[in-house]
Amino acid sequence: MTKDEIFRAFISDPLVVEKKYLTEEEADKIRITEATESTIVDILKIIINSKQDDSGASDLKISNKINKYLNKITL
Amino acid sequence: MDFLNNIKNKKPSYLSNYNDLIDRYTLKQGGKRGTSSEEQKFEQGKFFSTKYEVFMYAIIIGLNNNYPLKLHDGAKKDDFWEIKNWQPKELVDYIIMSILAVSDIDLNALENMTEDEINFETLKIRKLMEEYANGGFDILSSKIEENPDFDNDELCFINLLDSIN
Amino acid sequence: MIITKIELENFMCYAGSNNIFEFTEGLNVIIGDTTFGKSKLYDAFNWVIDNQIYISELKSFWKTGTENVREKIISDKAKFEATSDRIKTSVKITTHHPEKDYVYIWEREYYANRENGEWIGDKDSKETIWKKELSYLTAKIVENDEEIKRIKRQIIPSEIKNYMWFQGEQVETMIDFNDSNTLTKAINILSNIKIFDEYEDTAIYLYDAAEKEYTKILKETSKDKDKGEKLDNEKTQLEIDIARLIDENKEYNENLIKAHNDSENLLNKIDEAQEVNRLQDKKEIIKKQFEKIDKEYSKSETSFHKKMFKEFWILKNSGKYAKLFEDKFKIYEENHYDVINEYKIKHQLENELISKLETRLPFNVPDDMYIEKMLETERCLVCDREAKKESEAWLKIKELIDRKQESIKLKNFKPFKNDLENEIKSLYHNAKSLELNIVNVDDNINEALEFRKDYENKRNEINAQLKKIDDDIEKLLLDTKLKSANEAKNILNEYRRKVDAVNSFKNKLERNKKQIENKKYRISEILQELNKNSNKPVPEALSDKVKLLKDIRDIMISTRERIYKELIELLEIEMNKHYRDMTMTVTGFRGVIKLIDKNNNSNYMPQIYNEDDSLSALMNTSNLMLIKLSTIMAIISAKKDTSATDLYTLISDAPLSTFGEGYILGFCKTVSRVYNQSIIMSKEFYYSDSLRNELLNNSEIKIGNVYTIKPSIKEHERGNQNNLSTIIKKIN
Repeated sequence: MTKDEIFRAFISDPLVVEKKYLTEEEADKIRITEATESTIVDILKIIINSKQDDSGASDLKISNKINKYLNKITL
Repeated sequence: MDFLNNIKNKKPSYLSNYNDLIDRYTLKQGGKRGTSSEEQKFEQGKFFSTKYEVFMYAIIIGLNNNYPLKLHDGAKKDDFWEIKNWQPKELVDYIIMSILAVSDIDLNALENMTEDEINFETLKIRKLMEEYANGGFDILSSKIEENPDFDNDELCFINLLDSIN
Repeated sequence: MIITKIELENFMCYAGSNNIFEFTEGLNVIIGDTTFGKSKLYDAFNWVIDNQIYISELKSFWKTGTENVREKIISDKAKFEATSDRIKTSVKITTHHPEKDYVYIWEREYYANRENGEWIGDKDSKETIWKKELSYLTAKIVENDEEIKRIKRQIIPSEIKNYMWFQGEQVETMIDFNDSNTLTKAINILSNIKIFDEYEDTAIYLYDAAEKEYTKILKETSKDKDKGEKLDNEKTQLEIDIARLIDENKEYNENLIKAHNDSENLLNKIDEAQEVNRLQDKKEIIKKQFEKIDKEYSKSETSFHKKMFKEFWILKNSGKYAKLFEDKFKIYEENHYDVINEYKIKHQLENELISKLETRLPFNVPDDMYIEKMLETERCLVCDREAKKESEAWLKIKELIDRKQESIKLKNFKPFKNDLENEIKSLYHNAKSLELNIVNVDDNINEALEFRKDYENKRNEINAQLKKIDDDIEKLLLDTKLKSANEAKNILNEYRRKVDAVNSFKNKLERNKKQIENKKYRISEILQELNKNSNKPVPEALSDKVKLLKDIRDIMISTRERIYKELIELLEIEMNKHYRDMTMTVTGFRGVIKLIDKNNNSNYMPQIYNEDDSLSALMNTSNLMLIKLSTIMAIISAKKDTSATDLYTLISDAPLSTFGEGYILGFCKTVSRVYNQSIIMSKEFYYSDSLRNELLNNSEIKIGNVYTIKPSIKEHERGNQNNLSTIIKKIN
């Protein structure tokens, strides 16, 4: 499966719209390559990119990346 | 009932060489009288329950074929039970009657005979009975010799009663 | 990849080195009767790839190096005719990617040495992969391990091999509809669902980590340290409890599946079990009837001969003696009464005198004493007159005494010494009473014979009924695979037990789920309390992070579930597509397959439904194999990311053996359409010329190469295997 396919699988989950992270139109359109303002999308990208890259990062590593990213935002 | 009793007290003889034949078709009795059953008889392929039954049968065969056969004087003989013990009594009486019928006995003369004389006559009756039985055994044994599978047919003994020589 | 050729040298019944099969795209068929070598060819394919062969007596695979295999895979003929002490067996598979200009050759060799007249096989076989440019004559050995792995995967990846290379008899266990795990396993192996499992795990990890961080902060900023500590401990304990409950649920779920499978199995059998029970009950009744009549029949047989004496059959032809005796008896009676009459007459006069006397004086009058006195005294006491001796008067007196003598004599009326009349009469009467018996003997005998025949017939009739019902029960047991009539009896109880077990596990699962919910709720309460308890609000960033990661976790869990359901739907569609195609040639609606999650635990099982959506009974019939094959095909064809049916070859030995003729062609059409290349070993086309013609000429079947194989020696001569080789003929 490609990264985008995995991304799309998650983004198209009804919970995304239900929890108001994206509108329905946005959810339909978005691709992994697109830049967005949505935090949840960014986090998903981080997770997918980490896991799908060659050896696949460990959960610990992913957690570390996410925290770094979130810290960046809050600052 | 002296005369009949006299007859019935007798034990008729037969030629010993018919023992095999008798045994072949008679159920071996258990230690106690009458412990063997009809079932065992059938099972063992026997046709008669007791030896005297065979004897009675032989007498009748002899009578039906009009074939009294004297027993050889020197031949080995065996005795049966007293006639009075034979069953069924009606049959026994009928057979005795038949023997009397074919014998030359003078019934009226009997009525004036002494005991010894009567005994003499009853011996003659017994002898006649033995001869008819002997004839019957002879016919029976030659039938078996002629056809060893004679007794395969269940009705063989009954059918033999029909044969007219 | 397409398999273009397989070459066998001294492999099992393929003696010598000229055993070559070439294949193209489409449906390739190897035709031969049972034991002609089809399965051995299938074994050859497997042997190359997996270094093992299937031993049907043991129903399992065995590696070359094990005792069960070794030199047994080498052709007997080759061993027999070997001129040297070293012998080789080998199989080569050639594969070709249509767009490339080289082929790969995968060879496996095995050697045996002759020691003291016996062949001892090597420890193991040797494997070599060659690469051969089409334009060159020679091939090069591939040395690189990574490349070897890659090439092997291109030929057939191990996780789908079972669904692409299989024998008919393995289908049974591979797709076991009584095991609700069957599809789950297949889906898990073949789809990308694993990826989503991993994401789910990661998301749970991330959330848990964030949540831990959150509670730690709460604890550190708590006003009431003790309270904070207490709440934190409670939370930890709850988390431990939840983990335990989840584990427990896993176990309950497994047990639930098993109990459910068992109960479904039994449900199938219940109708049959009830039928068996019904037949058993009927059998008991018939058995009693039989016993009764058997007894009566035996009795009629055994008592038959006794009747010769009891019912006087022995006197059949003896009626004439009664007549003879009767004549004699009549004469006797005449004479007998003559004598009596004479005797009577003789005594008549005397009697007259006596009676005269008696009319004058009664018997004992006068008394003897007086009469004697009168005679002595020669004087009558009555009239008191003289009665001189021998005078008339004196004689008259004497008469009185004489009278007595006479009457005594009268009392001793004995005309005979021995009166035999009664005895003889008894004989006569006896004969008379038997007369009717004797007359009726023939009729009685016939009647008795008829009775006996009747009993015999009746007995035989009932015996035949008994046998038939025994046969019926036997057949039913065989059909239903029930082990015994006893098992049938127990089945209802068993079923109830299993249903109870299913409910019990369901309840346990429910209860646990509720507990988990409650505990989770309590944890969120604790978090709130901890929040309230803290004298510093948790940084918003952290709360946001926790919420975000929680939502991501939920999204990923939901996604995985969604994907799984989609796969199931896809599978269902594919299954029905294949199933419909294969059954199209057969008239009659064959039902629609639906995948059902019976226990709500994500284990799906196929069910067949009728047009009106009611459950169909077709699962129990012979098209079960068809459904299973549809499933196998669907598992492969539903794989979206890689088109396995294009890339890999279907190799199947005797998949058609349970099919009716109508399905065989449907199967061939479907297979040739679904798979780019398939190789099928079949005996069905051996028997039927018309079927074979259809195979070769039907335009809807994309046909590849078709071969027939035949052993070199006939069946009945095959005791000696030393001459056995296989004759291969291409027929199109």
